[in-house]
Amino acid sequence: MILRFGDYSREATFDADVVVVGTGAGGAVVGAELAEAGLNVAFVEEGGWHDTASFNPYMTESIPRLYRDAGVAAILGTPNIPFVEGRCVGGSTVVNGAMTWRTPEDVLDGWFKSTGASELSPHGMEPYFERVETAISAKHHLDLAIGGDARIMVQGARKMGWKVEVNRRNQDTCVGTNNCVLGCPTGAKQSTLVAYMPRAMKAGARCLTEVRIEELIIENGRCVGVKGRAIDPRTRKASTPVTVRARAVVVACGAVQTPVLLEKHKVGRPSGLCGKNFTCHPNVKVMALYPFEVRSWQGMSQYAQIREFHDEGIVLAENFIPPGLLAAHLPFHGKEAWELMQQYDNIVLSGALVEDSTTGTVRRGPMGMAVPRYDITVQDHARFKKGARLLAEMHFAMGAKRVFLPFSNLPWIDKVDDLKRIEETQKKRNTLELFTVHMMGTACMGSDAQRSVIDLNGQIWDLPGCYVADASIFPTAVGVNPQVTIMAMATRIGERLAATLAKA
Amino acid sequence: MPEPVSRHPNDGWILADPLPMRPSTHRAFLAIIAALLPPEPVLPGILEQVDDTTRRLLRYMHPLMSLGFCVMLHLLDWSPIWRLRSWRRIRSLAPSRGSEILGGLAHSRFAPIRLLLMGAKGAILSTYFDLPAVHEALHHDPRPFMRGRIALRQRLLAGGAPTEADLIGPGPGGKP
Ligand SMILES: Cc1cc2nc3c(=O)[nH]c(=O)nc-3n(C[C@H](O)[C@H](O)[C@H](O)COP(=O)(O)OP(=O)(O)OC[C@H]3O[C@@H](n4cnc5c(N)ncnc54)[C@H](O)[C@@H]3O)c2cc1C
Ligand code: SF4
Repeated sequence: MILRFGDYSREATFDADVVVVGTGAGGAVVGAELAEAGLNVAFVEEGGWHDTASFNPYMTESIPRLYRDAGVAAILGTPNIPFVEGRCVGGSTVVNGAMTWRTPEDVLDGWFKSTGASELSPHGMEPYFERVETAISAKHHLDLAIGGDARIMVQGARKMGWKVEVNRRNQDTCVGTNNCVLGCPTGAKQSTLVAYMPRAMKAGARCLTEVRIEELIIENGRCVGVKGRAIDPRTRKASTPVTVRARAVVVACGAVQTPVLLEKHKVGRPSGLCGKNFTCHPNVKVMALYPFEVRSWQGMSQYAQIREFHDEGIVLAENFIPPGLLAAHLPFHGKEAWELMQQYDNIVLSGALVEDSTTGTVRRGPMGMAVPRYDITVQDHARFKKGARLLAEMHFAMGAKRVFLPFSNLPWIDKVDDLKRIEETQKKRNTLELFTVHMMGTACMGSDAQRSVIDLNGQIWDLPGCYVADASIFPTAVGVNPQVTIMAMATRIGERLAATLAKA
Repeated sequence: MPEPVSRHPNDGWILADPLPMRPSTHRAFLAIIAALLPPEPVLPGILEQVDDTTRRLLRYMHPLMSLGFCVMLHLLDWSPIWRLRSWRRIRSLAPSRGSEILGGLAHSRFAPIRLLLMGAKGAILSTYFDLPAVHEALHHDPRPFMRGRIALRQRLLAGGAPTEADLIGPGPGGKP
């Protein structure tokens, strides 16, 4: 049963075994596990349920439907980092690029060492990765999905002598429409909307959409439900109250919204870590204008990653977007913007993703607004400059006539020799233009209440009955695209919670 | 049933009403839109469409963000004065002069000033470059390609074999 705004005509209260808040990479997976284990599951999701047939390439319609805050949010710091996250059934998996990387072994070894939990070791996580990869159909593409920009990137990397690795993606017969960021209109992308929610619904789960959860219900020190309000679609104001009471609550709102909800109740007191340990894999965009047609808008994004510099924490890849989204990145407006956009077919958009070397915070601000904060380090600054320079070098080697750089005081260059101007001009971090979509770590898992927010079962140390299963729970950044790690951890939490509730 | 990937998908979801603005804020907004949009091609009603669509998008932001956006519009409107470039606000200048003065903010040494312009530019240009008339003027229409690919996937799922013609160009498609 799927409920939407019109179904909450007056104050509504629901009962369930488990209420799962959020239906993204974490929420949908944990909910499906629990529903299939025979439990009565109610999902509560702030966004709407939008089917494959409703996806189109138009951002002014898709962004408000699928993204939080119309895609306008920033992490404060030096420099500020714009970020986006999904807000719809399926969460960010509906709009993500579908890269499926397992957690690197060295990261899992680190988690194993810091927690002492062998289930978090590469060996312990293996069965969960396998289950997830089967469920989301993580595999390589058909050749017919590869587009012109992917070919330029791979050929460019080969020309530079760099190592390239072809991505596996969660897709079944992807045909390269390149609309991943606005929802896959073919049904190929196995987001949680496609791969997990139908399973949960088939097993009897209910999905309460268009409801924003605002608080947890805590009775006698135990979490027994959630309270929120339905969102009026015309005014976007919170209206009818909705309550769900349950034996267990799973919070899976993503690494930015989860701490906002938890901080309201001041949980995570033993460690004081709730909202801290925030990491976000920031990246820089480098756009190249070629003297010939590439038609980057055809063919899937991120066919491959250039991993030559992975040891330094830098990964390079291409990632194309529709005209409306691209226009937001232009260093011009007016006539110049028009002239450049007329050459939309000749543009390749690429990016350098840098592994975190520091952490930030997410705080609950006025009116429940999330206030993330993160300052890049001097070392990161050097890596961003390097990543941008490498991409620019490669584009010039491939014949680009202009390369747009992520520096406000050096927005573009027309020849490779001008790359030396990067070092001359980029002395301060605040001229760097960053972006991110991988937020993590704000309710970290551990085996010690003094050094983590949740225990190894996913339960909050100082709030029995309340679990977390989303990108918040990573003890450290993963250094790769995170969805498979989130799904694998959520599978594990779901499995354990089902066993606990069965025993009870 | 509308054809796949059409605008205005009909899945029962309702797009929010435009965010109401005080008349003075609205005048500032319209002037800033006029200053940031390309002067050519001249597309009838485009300013109103950008205004309406962007104000709908503002509804989806956190109320403090949309309030911040409105404050930003006033700061930008007054920017000729506080930048000592003119005695008039953007709303009283020709769009070409407004465009020039706003463009100057992009080169400011101060990040918050650059951010003012970035915020407005991002919202206005991304809306503009998504409108049907603008896509038409750019000769950009992704729908035939996408519909062809949806049909191709259905053919493949039904057991059809991929052919050379299914590769994506330009030039010889397929593996690099
Ligand atoms: C554009 C983009 C591209 C990406 N590309 C990739 C990629 O290629 N590969 C990869 O591995 N990862 C990628 N990611 C990251 C990945 O998708 C996310 O890390 C992952 O989806 C996060 O999972 P989550 O469960 O933590 O949160 P989400 O998937 O964001 O889900 C959280 C859900 O909770 C809901 N919610 C939040 N607060 C509330 C509330 N108070 N009440 C009710 N509901 C609420 C939200 O609406 C949302 O649906 C990308 C992300 C984006 C945005
Ligand atoms: S490239 Fe197109 S078909 Fe492939 S997963 Fe993305 S949106 Fe779907």
